[in-house]
Amino acid sequence: MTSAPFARVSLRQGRWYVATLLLLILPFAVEWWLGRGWVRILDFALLSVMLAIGLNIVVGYAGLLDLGFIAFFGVGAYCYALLASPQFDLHWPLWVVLPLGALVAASFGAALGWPTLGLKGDYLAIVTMGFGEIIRIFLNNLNAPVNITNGPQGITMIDSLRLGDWSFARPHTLAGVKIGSLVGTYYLFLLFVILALILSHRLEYSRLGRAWAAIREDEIAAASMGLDTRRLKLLAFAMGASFGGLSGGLFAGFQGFVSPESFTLQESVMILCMVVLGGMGNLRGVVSGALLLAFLPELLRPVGVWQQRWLGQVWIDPSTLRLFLFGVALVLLMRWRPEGVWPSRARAREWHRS
Amino acid sequence: MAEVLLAVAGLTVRYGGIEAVSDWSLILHAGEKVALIGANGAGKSSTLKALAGVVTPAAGKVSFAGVDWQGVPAWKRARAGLTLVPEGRGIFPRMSIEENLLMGVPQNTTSSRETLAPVYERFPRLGERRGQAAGTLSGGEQQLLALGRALLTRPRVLMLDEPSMGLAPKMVEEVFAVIEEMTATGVALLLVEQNARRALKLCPRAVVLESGRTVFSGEAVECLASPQLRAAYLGD
Repeated sequence: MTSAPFARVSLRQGRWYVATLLLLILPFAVEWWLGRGWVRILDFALLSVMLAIGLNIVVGYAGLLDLGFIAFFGVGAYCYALLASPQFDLHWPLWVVLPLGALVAASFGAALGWPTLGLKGDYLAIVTMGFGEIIRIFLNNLNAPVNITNGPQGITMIDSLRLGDWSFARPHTLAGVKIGSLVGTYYLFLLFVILALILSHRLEYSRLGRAWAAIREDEIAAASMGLDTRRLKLLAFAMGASFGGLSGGLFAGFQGFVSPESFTLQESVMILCMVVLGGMGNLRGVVSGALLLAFLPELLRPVGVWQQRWLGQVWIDPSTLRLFLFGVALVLLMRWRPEGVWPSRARAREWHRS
Repeated sequence: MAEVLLAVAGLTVRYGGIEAVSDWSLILHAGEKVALIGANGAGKSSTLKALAGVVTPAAGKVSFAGVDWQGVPAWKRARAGLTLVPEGRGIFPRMSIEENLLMGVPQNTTSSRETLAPVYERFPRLGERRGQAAGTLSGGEQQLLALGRALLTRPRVLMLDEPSMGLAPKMVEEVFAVIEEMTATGVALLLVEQNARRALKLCPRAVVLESGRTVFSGEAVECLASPQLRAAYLGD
């Protein structure tokens, strides 16, 4: 009788150990098996995961449809780019620039939230979409009269990610094991993703998370229970945006280059797709959705090569095919599984109760 | 006479060009129970919503415990002790019963879960099913949940909008019994109810609304004695 719970706990612990080990080995395995290019893809995928976790706070928890989320990613990226590059000859350290980027993104989130508090659903989506575009267009045009963002050319030679003497742009040898720069970056990003996951998970089951759920379900009833719905919505916008800003900072440092074209509406839609496909409100679903959509384009890349080889020419561009497949996947999903692939229990209930 | 808790003067609510409540006034004392009766569209729900701050009135003055409530948002009114249980109960159907109740517990309460104990004791059915989605409860149980949750907000004035709507007669009795219990401790009540006869049995005072205006205000017995009012609202 008494051994059963112990067995379960140790099984769960065992699973954690295995998962940790797998995550640690993963980049080496990928590098050895598929090449360095895929480790890079993996790194970018982790940034997408972080973005999706952030957007999930806004869309999944608080139920506010945000179609301009990429703007916060852009704000974070430009924060890093302006404060750690030859643009203004500033080279602030990572541990200042990253939190600052998250903070600035959060205030942009609140700034977006403030005028949109009274809006719901489609109207909110339209305004957030416009906000995203405004940010992008500003970044694109703030090169005159005073050159701040360097306009469409973007900012180059951004300082690489480095903590003290440890640069993530160079390979290191640790205890006889050679860790390539991409693998090192993977660990850094993984650390941030795990922190974001823990924070987000804690939020979901906190009083705050419950309050967001209440607003999502019935705003009037929530206000009647004494919940300050305005403040709570602003908080959701700001917190979600801070994750976006953090991810953006890491992106800028990793890529060494930012330009406005990385922050288009299509990217916002992509992140929303990650959240919706995976399952709004459920972290596991959101993470798997983000990974799925981050890897899918890479998986489709060979389709072009095959066409060239077997049909003599590329009839359908793989990137077009990607969008087509997205469309098909979304339509199928909305028809048969509107709650997403791996939804939260509450969300599944929302869809399957009349 | 007890303290004046809620003072309403000249309250007017408009939706577009339609005036739902016109120049409406009321004085509610602490612990007083008032039934608001009237036909569909008489402005009962709009009145409650305007008092709760969910709807912004076009004109009028509302003060609570002597404080002017001009521009005070709904959540602050709720925290001050004016709790609305909206029509259709306003529970969160996809959240669990326990989560629903926790929403009623005022913030900064140290052990939220302990404060739920009396509710579970009074409504064992809710305790048994605390982990279940509130939407899976029957209509009557949902109403009890809404009442239990409202009680946790520690109201000074309870505003109930059609608590007996769509309930089986037996359940109506139970809901009214609960309301009676809740208000026995000195909580003031503003009760909007289609079932006027039942409401008048519970509340010593009645206000009858017609097209957003008060056409009768006085003791419930007086209302029950008036042939016109009986004909119009009690179906005699």
